[in-house]
Amino acid sequence: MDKYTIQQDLHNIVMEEIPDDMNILPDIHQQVKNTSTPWTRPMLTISRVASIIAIFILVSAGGYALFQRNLVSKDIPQQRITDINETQTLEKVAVTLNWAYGDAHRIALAYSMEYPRLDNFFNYPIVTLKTDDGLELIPDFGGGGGGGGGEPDSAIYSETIMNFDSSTIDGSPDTINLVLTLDFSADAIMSNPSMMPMSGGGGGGGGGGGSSSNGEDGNTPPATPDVSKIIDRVYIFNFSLPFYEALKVEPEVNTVESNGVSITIDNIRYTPSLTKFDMCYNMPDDEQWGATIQIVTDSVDSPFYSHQQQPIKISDDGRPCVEVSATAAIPDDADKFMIDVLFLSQPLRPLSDELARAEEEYFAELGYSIKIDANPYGYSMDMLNYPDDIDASDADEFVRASLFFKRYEGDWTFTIPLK
Amino acid sequence: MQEREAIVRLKRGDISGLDHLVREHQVQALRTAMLITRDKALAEDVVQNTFIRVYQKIEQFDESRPFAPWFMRSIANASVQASKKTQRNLSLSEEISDGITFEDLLTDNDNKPDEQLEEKERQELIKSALDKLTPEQRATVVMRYFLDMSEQDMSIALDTPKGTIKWRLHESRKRLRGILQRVITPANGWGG
Repeated sequence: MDKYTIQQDLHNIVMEEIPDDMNILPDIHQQVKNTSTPWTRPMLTISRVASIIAIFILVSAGGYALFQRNLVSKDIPQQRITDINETQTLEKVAVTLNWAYGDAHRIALAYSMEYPRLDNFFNYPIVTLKTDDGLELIPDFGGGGGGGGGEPDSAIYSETIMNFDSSTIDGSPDTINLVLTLDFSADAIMSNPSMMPMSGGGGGGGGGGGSSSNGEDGNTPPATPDVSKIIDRVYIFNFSLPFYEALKVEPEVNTVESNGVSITIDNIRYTPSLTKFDMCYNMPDDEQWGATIQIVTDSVDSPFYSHQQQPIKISDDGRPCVEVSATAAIPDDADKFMIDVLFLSQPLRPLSDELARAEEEYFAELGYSIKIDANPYGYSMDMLNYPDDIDASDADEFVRASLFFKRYEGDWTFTIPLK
Repeated sequence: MQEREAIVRLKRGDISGLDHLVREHQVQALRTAMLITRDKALAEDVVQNTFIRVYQKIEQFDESRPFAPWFMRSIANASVQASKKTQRNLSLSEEISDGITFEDLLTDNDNKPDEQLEEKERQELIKSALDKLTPEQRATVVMRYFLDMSEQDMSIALDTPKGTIKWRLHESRKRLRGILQRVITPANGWGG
């Protein structure tokens, strides 16, 4: 008996008692309803910006996954993407490295898979990306993917975008040589139980999400792997990319005061796809408020980014500073870009039926018909109707990003020359 | 919805974020808790309460980090604490199933070559061996072999020095090896 057999036996033992379709969500909902509020915060003046209707993509370089065939990243300048389109086929499973992009903040790449329905093949590879001198790049938490199998006899197709932190690469080479490995071997499957298709998530038989996304594409729950029958498929792609360095740039004015709040931006590091900077501010109530920002050029508006993270340092004048990462495909010919801090926000607590009704009325005025079931602990929201000029997912995202949040408005705009 | 978005939603009080995390992780969590507590009802309590604590403490969680390792560590730790409260360790003579005792299993298998051990029989043996361990020892076995965690991660998860983890693993392996000696070969058995 080897280690895998022991692991397999442990899985089999517990699967009898905890089947794949076991669901304790209703019990948790009940428990949530019976639990009192965990924390409350004082309520400040609520102000609203009715004109802001957008998708809020939350925090840093991870939240930019899109699910569609031939996935693209809208936050990368398309002309800087390198098309690779190299396909390797092992035992009926074809893997294609579609494209890649690299700068000093991140490496992004997309791969796709196509294969017939196979027993004991599990679409949960261990993916590693290394430079040709052996430096392993850590996957960013973000990424995404999707796919589906369609009819029972049809081939399964899936696509995945992955992002890797490239800030550990020394220097600023013009090009970078990389080695991508997708390991579908039994060793890989068993060495990473969190990737194993035993939690009822996507993938496997239905060909759902990739390694970074547990697909919610309605796939059939996959079977537990029989490791003894897994064929060791390992795909290795060697490729080169142009590498764009991070440029330190300075705003024309680095401190802007509005509505009694002074915001300072510094340490701006810019690449064509992702801008990082430090943002320091202190609220009159000394509470921590998140910031919603947008990067704007003459031709491109980035998504809105809402930052709620903990401060990374205290400025010389005693204000807490957060590090902001915002993906934005800044055009090559842009001679400047702007960082707009649209508003500062803080959750509205405690939640209550009264507050829920007020929020329903507020969103009704904006054209969104929603039903909120709130208790002191949390809330659920159903979208009943929304404006005609916005699609369902955008409407849902907008409402969820704004619901039960108070806002502190101001006009903080920073202009950053590029040439 | 991606996991990071679910966590951000949860931080905002949006229960749909918790729903996503429960759907994604409940089965693995229940299986982990079940293996450590050896009690289904207790495992369900542990997992439910841990999910509730996730919500209560979600403000402290950095959503840029993967959720599963952090959560499974919490599950393992909570399972140990819950097990210690109920202390479910079988005695040598306690009946395991169908009148078979732990001693019977050892005796029964003494004369049986590895290849003749049926899968079901082998699993029963492992199950009964798990029952013989303390909650802490079960947790080390489950975290190492079911969750495939490193000793360093286990040390953090159980708030226990790495040396103690090594010792517990050694003790657990020794006890299990004693029970399973007829089915594990020294070369590829419990070395990890």
